[in-house]
Amino acid sequence: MNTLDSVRIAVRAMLAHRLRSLLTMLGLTIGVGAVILLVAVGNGAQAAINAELEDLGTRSVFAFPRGTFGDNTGTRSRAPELTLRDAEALRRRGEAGAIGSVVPILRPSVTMTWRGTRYSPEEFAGSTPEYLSAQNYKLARGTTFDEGDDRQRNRVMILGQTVVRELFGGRDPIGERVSVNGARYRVIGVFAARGEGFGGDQDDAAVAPFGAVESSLSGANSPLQSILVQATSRQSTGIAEQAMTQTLLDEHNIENPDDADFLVFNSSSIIAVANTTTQIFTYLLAGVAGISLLVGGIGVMNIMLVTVSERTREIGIRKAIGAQRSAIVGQFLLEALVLSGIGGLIGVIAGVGLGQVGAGSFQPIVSWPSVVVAFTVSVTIGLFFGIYPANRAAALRPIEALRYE
Amino acid sequence: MSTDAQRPIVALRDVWKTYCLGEVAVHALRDVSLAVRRGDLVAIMGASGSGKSTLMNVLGCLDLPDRGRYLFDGIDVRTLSESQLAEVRNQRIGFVFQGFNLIARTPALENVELPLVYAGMGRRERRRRATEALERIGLGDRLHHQSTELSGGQQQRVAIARALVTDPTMLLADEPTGALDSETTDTVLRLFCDINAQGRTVVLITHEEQVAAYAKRVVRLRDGRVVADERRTAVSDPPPGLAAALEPA
Repeated sequence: MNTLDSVRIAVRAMLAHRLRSLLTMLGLTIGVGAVILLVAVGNGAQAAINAELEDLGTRSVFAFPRGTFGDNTGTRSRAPELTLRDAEALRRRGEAGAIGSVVPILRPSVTMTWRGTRYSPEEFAGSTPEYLSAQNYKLARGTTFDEGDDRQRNRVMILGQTVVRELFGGRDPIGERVSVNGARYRVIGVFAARGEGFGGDQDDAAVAPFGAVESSLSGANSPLQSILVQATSRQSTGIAEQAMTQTLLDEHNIENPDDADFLVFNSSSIIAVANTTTQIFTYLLAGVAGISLLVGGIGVMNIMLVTVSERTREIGIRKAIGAQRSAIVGQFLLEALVLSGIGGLIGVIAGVGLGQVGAGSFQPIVSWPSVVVAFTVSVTIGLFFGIYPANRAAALRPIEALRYE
Repeated sequence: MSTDAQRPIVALRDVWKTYCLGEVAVHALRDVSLAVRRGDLVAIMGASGSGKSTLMNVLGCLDLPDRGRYLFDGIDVRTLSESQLAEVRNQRIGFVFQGFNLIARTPALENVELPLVYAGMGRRERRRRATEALERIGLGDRLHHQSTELSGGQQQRVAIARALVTDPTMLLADEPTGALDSETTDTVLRLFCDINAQGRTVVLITHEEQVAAYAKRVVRLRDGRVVADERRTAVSDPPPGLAAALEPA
């Protein structure tokens, strides 16, 4: 008995009960489609989060004074701080290798006033021009500031979209002078929108040259809120992190790293943590979808059992005219296989199709391994749940099967 | 005396078959001994409950006797495995059942092909043989009709073609005319006579006297025992039904 004949018999049996076959397949279709789609959603979410994190700069290593995140132990006589001296030390160290640019950051809390409108942005950073590229800021309009502006302490600033909206109500801010805690800054540019990110609205920010902020707002030699180091390459981020830690320990005369009065973050490790989280999330979604696949398989078994008892007489005739046990098992297994195969295939088409549709804030990304796995699992499930009904059919004794009405 | 032609094709010796219906044991066959010779046309008659269906199941290797021996063409069927029994049914016995015994939603040609499919024959060869078998019984123009598109007589003829396509040693028919009107019954019975006239052994199981009129030998069963065994025509002669059909013409 060749395969083509068997497939024809199976397809004919399926077409004989179109609605029933369709409903049976639907179970597996939904299962397969759900696995593919939910994995795609998980992947899309991960990619979206990664894209957010890329904005932090994949080569960035940040140092914050201890206490920034409410973790000050309070045992020290002097509040821990990072200074320009630390930044200078890092720059000297940087000439040896992994550390590229060193970017000191001041983050005074400010209130801006323009023609009577007052607004306090989430973030107001005073830093060097490298800060803009390290943070992946892109300019929508106007110009950026450069080293010269920094050195000459030019009071200019670039605003995020939220600040522009709050302060200027949609008017063009370029060239306008804004009072920042009393100091007048000229708006020279507007950043491109970045959307929501970690810690809220990334557009609720303004950046000005380090020199200007130091002289007009923070005061000379005031402590830095943060130091950002750009590693020379993505691979050397770890080395840069170590070098930064060691340099700061040396500068602060601390021997035991556990006593450090600063915290160092590597953006790559933040990305890694976020990836793990979204991965668990993805597996969870896939697992839930997998359960629906299993339920679909049970549906196949149910229908195959009905089919076998409905066709008892047919089985009797087949056995009487000499069908071997294996031929009967094969026939019903193949029917289960065709059901689950076609059901799975429709699920693949549906899952991949829906995966192309955007889901609001991010685009799902269909993962081809998930397609292959979901389809294979659906066929395997069909096969597995087909075994019992097929064996039951084959075990029927021909005379009993013939007598069956 | 022991030439191939003389040896019985089926031989039952002291066969018992008992079914348990709940607590009650029903003796469907009690000590039945029966031999059928090659080329014979035997009608096995009996009312319902006489054990004739059980006899047919045993003869057709669908069921094994509880006691006694059944030799099919000299082989004790109790020594055969399930798979070997399937092979015997497939290649040595042609079955015709009562009523609608074609596979649903399957064209006549594929129904007839089915035993050859299970025998593992190649597509081209079995198509040729199935077509031939259908043409021989006058259904050459109905090859691609499904059973629902055929009359009762046509369906039974397709079933006969299916039984003959493997060129079996014995044709076994269980109430082959049970679902047919009397005119169609004659057509189908004459077909059995033709088949027998070509030298094939035919065993008809029936309760209708009309059918028995076509047989060379009539065996009557009652309560699981053979109560009468009447030879009407010699095995080597043409079947009486065929002669009767020819006479008026």
